[in-house]
Parts: sequence; C-alpha cells; structure tokens
Amino acid sequence: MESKYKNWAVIVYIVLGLEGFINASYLAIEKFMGGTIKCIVFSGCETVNNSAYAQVLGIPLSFFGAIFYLLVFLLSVRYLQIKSVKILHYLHYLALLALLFSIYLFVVQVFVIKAYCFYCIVSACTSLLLFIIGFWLPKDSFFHFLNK
Amino acid sequence: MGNQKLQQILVWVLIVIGLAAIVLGMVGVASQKSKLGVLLNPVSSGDWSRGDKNAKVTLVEYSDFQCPACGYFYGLVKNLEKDFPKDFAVVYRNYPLEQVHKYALLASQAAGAAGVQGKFWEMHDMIFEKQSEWSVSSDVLGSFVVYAKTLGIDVEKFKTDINSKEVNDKIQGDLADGNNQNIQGTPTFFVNGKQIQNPQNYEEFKKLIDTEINK
Repeated sequence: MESKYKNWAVIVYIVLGLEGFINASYLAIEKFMGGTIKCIVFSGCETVNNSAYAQVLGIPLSFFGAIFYLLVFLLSVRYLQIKSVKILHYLHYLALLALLFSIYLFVVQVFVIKAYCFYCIVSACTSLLLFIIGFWLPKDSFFHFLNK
Repeated sequence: MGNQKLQQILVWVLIVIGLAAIVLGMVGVASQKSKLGVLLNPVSSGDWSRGDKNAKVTLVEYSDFQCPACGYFYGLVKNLEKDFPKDFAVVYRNYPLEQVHKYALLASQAAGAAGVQGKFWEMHDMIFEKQSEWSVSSDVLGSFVVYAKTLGIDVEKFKTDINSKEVNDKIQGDLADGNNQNIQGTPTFFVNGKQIQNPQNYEEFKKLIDTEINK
C-alpha cells in the first residue's frame, strides 16, 4: 500500500539540501568577494575560514560544501520525479560522507583552531540531520545500503 | 507521457531560475558588506602626518601595528613617499584589532609615546620594520624600550608616556573614528577622503596615487 507520505524523508532532504546550499554558498561568496589583503576585525568565522583547514588546493571548503548540498537537493528532486532506487543509494552515500566530514571539521574547530564559525556549525547540523533522516528514506534502499 | 515530461522540464527550469536568484541575492548581500565609504573625520592638526604640508593628495590609513597586512602595506606606502616627494602626504590613525592582536595597542602606545618626544614616525617605521621580531617576543615592551633607546629619546619618559592620557586619548579617539567609519579590517585607506579597495600590489597603488595627483 502506497502511503501518501512515503517520500516525506526525501522532501526533508530537498529542504535540507537547499538550506545547506544557501548556507555554504553564502560563505563561499563572501570569501570570494572579500579577497583584499587585510586583517579582519575579530569574528570566529574569519578565524576559521582563513585557517589552513578551510581550503583544499586553494579553493575554499565552502565551495565544495555548496556543491555537495546542491547535489543532495538536485538528486532528491529527481527522485520524486523518477523514483529511482539508485538515487537513494547515492543519497545515502552522500549523507554518510557529510556526517564523517562534519565530524572532522567540528573536531578541528574545537580542538585545533579553537574558534567557532556559526555557518560551519549550521552546516554540521544539516549534515547530521541528513544522516539521521537517511534512515527513513524509502525502505528498500536502506536495506540495500546495509547489505552492501 | 508528453505532459509529464513537460512538467518535469518546467520544474527544472524553475529550479535553475530559483537557484540563480538565490545566488544573485547572496552576491548582493555580500557586496553590501564591502561598500567603500567616505572619510568622516577630516585630517586635522592633531593627526600624525608625514610628507608635503600642502599635499594635493593625502592618504589616510587606519592601521594596526601588529597586523601583517599593515606590515606589508608599510613597505608600499614608504615607496609611495619616495616616488612622490611632492604633492603627497600620509596620515596614520590607530586602529588596533585588540581581539586578534594582543600587542597592537601597546605598539600604538609606544609609537605615541615616542611621538611626544618628536619621534612618532621614526618609531612607527621601526615597529613595522621589526614587526616579525617583536610580535613573537616574550617581552614586547622590552623590545619597544630598545627601539626607544636606539632613537635616542628619554627612555624613562617614554615608559611613562606609554600610559599617559595624551597618548591614549589619541589612540581611543582614532579607534572611535574607525568604529564610526565602520572599518572592516586593517589597513583601510582613504585617498583624499574616499575609501579605496586595498591595491593588490605596488604598481596598482602607485598608479592610483599618480592619477589622483594629476587630476
């Protein structure tokens, strides 16, 4: 029996993906536009985002984060259209990746940089939610994921 | 079937438009933050200035002595003063970012104290030249005292003046100015009262000043 709300988790994914995208891309845009040589007035965000941990090959992490959340958003929308189980698998992997990476970044903020960035914390929460809600994605995909 | 496909395409078109709008909106918000201002408190006789007394172009700098970026621009501004001996003057205003630079305020006080004995700019130069040394020293005040000795000023008076009302009022006044001005970071430059984007290199800076002089 097809429940009307069987895909509620996917809809939550759409919302979280969009929210994560907005959060991460705002950070990336700010970084991209504020590129002058300056010492910035104190703010946890500046300390964290100007640290070595905030970039990969010279590209700010926030950019990759924006791409990641965009993927989650787009995949979730596509799932509602074609109900492909394969998409659900991808979403699971993305959610797991997000969780692991968020834990790493959180540990770096707390124990290494010792500064907190609000936007980064929001992103970590979004990733955590994605992982938790992931357990409620349509059932078949969940078991497939476990039986890998 | 065709209808469904059309519906799907429509959804994607709306999504692309929506995302584009969101990104543009964020670019708009971010650019508000980096707007260039106008100098609110004009240069006065109470300011630390160096250069042509009747300069056509005055460069005002809000600066933090411990800020590496300011250290970088110190070199550039010095070269500007060499390249434009006439028509150009520089004004220094204190804007120590105390929350990130522990000794910035002390450095401002040291420069100001040297200034009481007529050696502000000499001390200013020394502090920036040796920024990488004293900023990591275990006795920063001791370093400044050594510089004071080198400059040949009265060291005891120097040490007292560091905490004097005159020196600290000036620093706090500059800080208040900077806060009114909504300074986002250091250095922040104003050329003839108009804020500029920090130039990426010396050539850019030189061109800017040259243009302003020849206006």
